[in-house]
Amino acid sequence: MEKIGAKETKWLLILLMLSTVTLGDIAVFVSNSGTAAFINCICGLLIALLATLVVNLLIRHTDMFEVFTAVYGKALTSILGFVLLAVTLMNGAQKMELFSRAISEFVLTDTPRIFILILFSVSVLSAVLFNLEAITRYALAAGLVFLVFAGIIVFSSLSEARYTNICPVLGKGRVVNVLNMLYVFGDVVYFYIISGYIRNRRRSAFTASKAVIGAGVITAVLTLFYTLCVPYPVSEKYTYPLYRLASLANYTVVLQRLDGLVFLMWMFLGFISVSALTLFAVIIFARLFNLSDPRAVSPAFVFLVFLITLTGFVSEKAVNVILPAFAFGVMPLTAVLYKFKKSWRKKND
Amino acid sequence: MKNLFFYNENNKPYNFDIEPPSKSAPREVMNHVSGDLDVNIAYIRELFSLPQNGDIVTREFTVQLLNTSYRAFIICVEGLSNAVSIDEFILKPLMLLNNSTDKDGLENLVETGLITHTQVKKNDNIHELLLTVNIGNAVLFIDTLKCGFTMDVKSWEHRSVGNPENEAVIQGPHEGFNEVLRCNTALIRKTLNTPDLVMENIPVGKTSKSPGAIAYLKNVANESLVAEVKKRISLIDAEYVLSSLDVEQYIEEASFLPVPQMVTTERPDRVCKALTEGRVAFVLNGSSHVLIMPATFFDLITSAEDEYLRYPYSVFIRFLRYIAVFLSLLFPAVFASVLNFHPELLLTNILLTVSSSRALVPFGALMELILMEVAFELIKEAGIRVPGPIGSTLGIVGGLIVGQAAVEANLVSPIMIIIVAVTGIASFTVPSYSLAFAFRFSRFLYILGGAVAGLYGVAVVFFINTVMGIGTKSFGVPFLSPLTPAAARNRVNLIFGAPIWKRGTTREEYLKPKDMYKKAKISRKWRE
Repeated sequence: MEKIGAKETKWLLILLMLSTVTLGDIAVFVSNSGTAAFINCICGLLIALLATLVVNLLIRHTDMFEVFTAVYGKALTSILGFVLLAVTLMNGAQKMELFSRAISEFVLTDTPRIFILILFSVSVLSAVLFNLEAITRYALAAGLVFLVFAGIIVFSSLSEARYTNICPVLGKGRVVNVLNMLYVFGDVVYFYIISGYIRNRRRSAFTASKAVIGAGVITAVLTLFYTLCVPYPVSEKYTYPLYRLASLANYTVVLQRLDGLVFLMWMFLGFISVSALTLFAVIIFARLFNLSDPRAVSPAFVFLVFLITLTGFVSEKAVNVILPAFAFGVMPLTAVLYKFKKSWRKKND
Repeated sequence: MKNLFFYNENNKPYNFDIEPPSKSAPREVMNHVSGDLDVNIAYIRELFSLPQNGDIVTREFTVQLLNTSYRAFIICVEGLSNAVSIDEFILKPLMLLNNSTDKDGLENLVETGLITHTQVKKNDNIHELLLTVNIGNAVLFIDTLKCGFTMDVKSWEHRSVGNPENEAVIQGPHEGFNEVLRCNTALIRKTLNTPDLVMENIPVGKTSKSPGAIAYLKNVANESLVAEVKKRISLIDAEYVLSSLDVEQYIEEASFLPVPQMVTTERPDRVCKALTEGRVAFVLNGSSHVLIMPATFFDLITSAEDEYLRYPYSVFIRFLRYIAVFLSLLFPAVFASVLNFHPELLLTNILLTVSSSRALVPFGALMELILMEVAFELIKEAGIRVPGPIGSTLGIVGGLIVGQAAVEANLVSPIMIIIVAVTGIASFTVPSYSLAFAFRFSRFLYILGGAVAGLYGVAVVFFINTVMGIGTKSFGVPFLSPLTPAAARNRVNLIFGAPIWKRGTTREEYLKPKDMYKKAKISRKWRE
């Protein structure tokens, strides 16, 4: 497989983490923490950052499968790999389901869902066939566009912002709710799978941490503006907060609607994130079965994701628990064990 | 008398079929020049099918050296070689002068003492010698010598240096390439005026051996890029390669993608600018188009004139062109999508205007759009194929009269004419002919996407299209550089332009040039 750039990888991870934030996640944060949703986002960001920093500092230039094999042996690595493969496929299917549902609800209300899913799969297939380098480069370009769009939406909703809406600042006052939003950063686990493909591995050491910071800051800002513009508890009633934020904009006759920007964001974030997740599944599969050129199995995996979405065989809870558990539990623990084992071996030698 | 008034047709039907080719005996191949002149003459007569070949001129004569006469033979092509040069500088000295003192040095004597012509090359390979006859050289053989002499006496008729027809500019040079290799290389060399310019000869085609040259600046261009271009061109295994546009197809990476992966230009100034950036150019004899590689989307979307316009005008034109690109690609598709799937996106009064204009049209918006687009493409294609004056008439007849008649007959709505016309005009602003073709082709896919699933369908096609663009590479350079990947510097300057003195101090990073330095940070020293 071709090499990818560190900056592109960072943006791919950011977009992956932000993909569901642009849908309904902000409403979930608000319903969990009330007006303190953005503070919870910052706390979540700090926890995720700490965990990724531990991994980045302990195992700088090694990818996940190498570390797992060194610590747990081949058999356990295979089991963990299969679990991750299943979760990745479900994650892809879940995102395809969420985005296609949003498109179906707002853009193509009379069109059968299967039709939307087929077109979705076609675009995913084309991206997967062009491989990881094209997807990461796409993420970089799309990331810049995403920032511009998000900036326009935030800027245009400024007139609706009331600072009284974020009071009480500590919201429901439950710190434990931070753990409920950690799943947003769960996608960072894929960095440890593709880190081996990064061109300049020395520069890539803190890519995961940078991605977590980027995604965390954007999530916190969007949540803050949503809380400022839409008063609580009305704010927890909207399924798509960003759409609500965009629909608040009104530049009189010149520009009356900005919701089109949200649809564009959904479509492209959906295509990129599902393509990336499908490709990650292909890469995990290739690593498990030692395939040198996994491109041949890519169409099969796209079809698999399509089928999972169609049959609804997706456990949202499983994805939202297992991924962060991997990223912020298993990975730091493995990193500590790896370092310990390495120094112990050095001592014995 | 009877024969005057009646025609007696031969009742026997005339029938002709091409028969299978007869098996001719394999030709004996002679590699080296023989010391026996008769052997050489016999071989040449067979090779050039003499005396059937009317334009091949041969002449046998005698050279007198130290009281010994040697038979000699010269061959050239009438119309390609200059007869006066042959008479004055080759035949006259050989036949009339006798300044030899040493018989052993006959070869050297002929080459250095008798032929009073600037370009003479000695060679013992008869094939290499005779290949030069077809490009206008004269070849001389002398009895007892196991070598021949090729003399550059080219003098064929060719188009003079004129305006580049397809890349005309208002401001800037008006010189364009013609079909003569050396004329084209000279145009580049005189503009660049640097000894670092290398014009490496490389013949293309196994049989045609069409003379070509790879041009690059040896202190700037990346060696691996030059080597890759050389490798791809020299490994073209085809009998005849007659145009640089053929070479483009032989050496491009992805033939089935609509976007071109090289810049083809008729302008020497454009080639020179590309060479100074660290790119490589390829010039082929017989072709007025020069290939520049690698190419990115932003090279293809930039016109030669952008460089010569003052910054405010150039940035305005650039933005206008970006808008035109989006219009030419997406306007009809978005219109069809909005009309069919999302009419709520239109303001009520616009929607009412559109609906009333389409009230009597029997076709759906999609069918109407496809009909109009196909008709427009037909007019465009026919306008190119028919001779000049008729071409413009055809455009007027097609565009105005047929369009007007179609509207009056309620076959199409006036709004659709406006949509297709705006799209057509926008597509003409794309400077690269190949890229414009890619847009023409892609437009139909967008219309299809819009017809199938509205704006979502358009987004799907756009995603696939951009993934293709991002995934494509031209000689190792990503097609959408410097937008993505991130390693590229000067990104903003390349996309939006900048005043000439403010543009980057370095060359483009994605070309990995040997020398990154382009100009001083403060290039306007007089301001200091």
